[in-house]
Amino acid sequence: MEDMFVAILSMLLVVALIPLYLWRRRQVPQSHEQEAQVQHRETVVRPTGTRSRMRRRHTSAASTSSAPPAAEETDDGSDEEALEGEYYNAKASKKKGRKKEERQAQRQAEEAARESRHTKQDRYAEIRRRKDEEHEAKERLLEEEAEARKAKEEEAAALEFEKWKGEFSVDAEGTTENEVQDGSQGLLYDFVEYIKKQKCIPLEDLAAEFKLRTQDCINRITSLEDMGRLSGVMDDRGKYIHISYEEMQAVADYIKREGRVSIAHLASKSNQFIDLEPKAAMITEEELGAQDEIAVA
Amino acid sequence: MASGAGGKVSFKVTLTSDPKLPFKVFSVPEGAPFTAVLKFAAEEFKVPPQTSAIITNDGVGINPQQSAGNVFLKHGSELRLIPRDRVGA
Repeated sequence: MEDMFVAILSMLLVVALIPLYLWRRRQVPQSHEQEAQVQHRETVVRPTGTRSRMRRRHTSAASTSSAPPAAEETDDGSDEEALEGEYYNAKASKKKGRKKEERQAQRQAEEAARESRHTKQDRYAEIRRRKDEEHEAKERLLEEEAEARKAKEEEAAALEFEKWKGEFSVDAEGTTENEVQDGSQGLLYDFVEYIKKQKCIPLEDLAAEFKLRTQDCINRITSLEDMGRLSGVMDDRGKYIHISYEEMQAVADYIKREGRVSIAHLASKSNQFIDLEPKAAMITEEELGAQDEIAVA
Repeated sequence: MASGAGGKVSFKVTLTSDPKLPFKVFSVPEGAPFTAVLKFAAEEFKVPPQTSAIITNDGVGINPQQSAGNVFLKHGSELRLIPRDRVGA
């Protein structure tokens, strides 16, 4: 029973000493690394030795009876502590070395991956650039072909034009009369005066003179009659006869004077009252008549 | 204005972009392509042929890819020369 107790106590002591040792080691890392390098070679043998010693310790702890177990254990503990220290040094340094190697390997692997990625990207960029260049070259070619085609077509058109140009001629030239734009009131006055002068005019001739349609001429004349600016009759053969108010008054007076008159007689008499000669001729006669009167006077 | 004698047709072309409405009467062979007539008319009126078009007095456009005789038959002889941006307006 006591032996058991002692064994358990010694185990607890050992377990308590391990973190202490580790803490100390962290405080002075350099010296321990050097030791680790030296002891690295011995670690092959030591761990097994220490493990076997630890096993022996447990059994010895179990078998020993009384004696001050703490004192014995401390003696054993200090020896073992140093051994353990060395063991853990070696182990830690080995672990560190392994970690360092792993990190280095990882770094190398990362670098290698980065490099391969860069080369891949460069290759893709190169391929893309080459494709763009080819595409641009193709487009340029197409544009040049289109321009060449266009130039050829223009040349052909120009040649054809030169071929026909010799047979073209300008027969007449001028400017279109803009009487309508210059003064519409003047035009209406001219219209009325023209009818008065002509006395008896075919409506088609009137339309051609004033560049209107025949129906438009008829409408104009009707409107002017309503306005009182024209007076006359339109016959069924397409003529308009202008009869002045004076002539109409003369016919009316004759009818009133005679009282009862036949149409045939009236018609023959009207020819005397109404003159169908164009007014230009009338003016000449009037002038002559005036001159005669003067002469008589 | 129209005459078919001697294989020639006449067109009276009025330049409508000018307020004075100047016109010229061209006598051209029947078989001449109307593109050549258009170019000739444009040069006579001193306007760029590439930006000009010929239409009828009613405002109907004339396809220049036909002969002068065809144009005369379809559209008559009274034509107008307009700047091309006015086509369809």
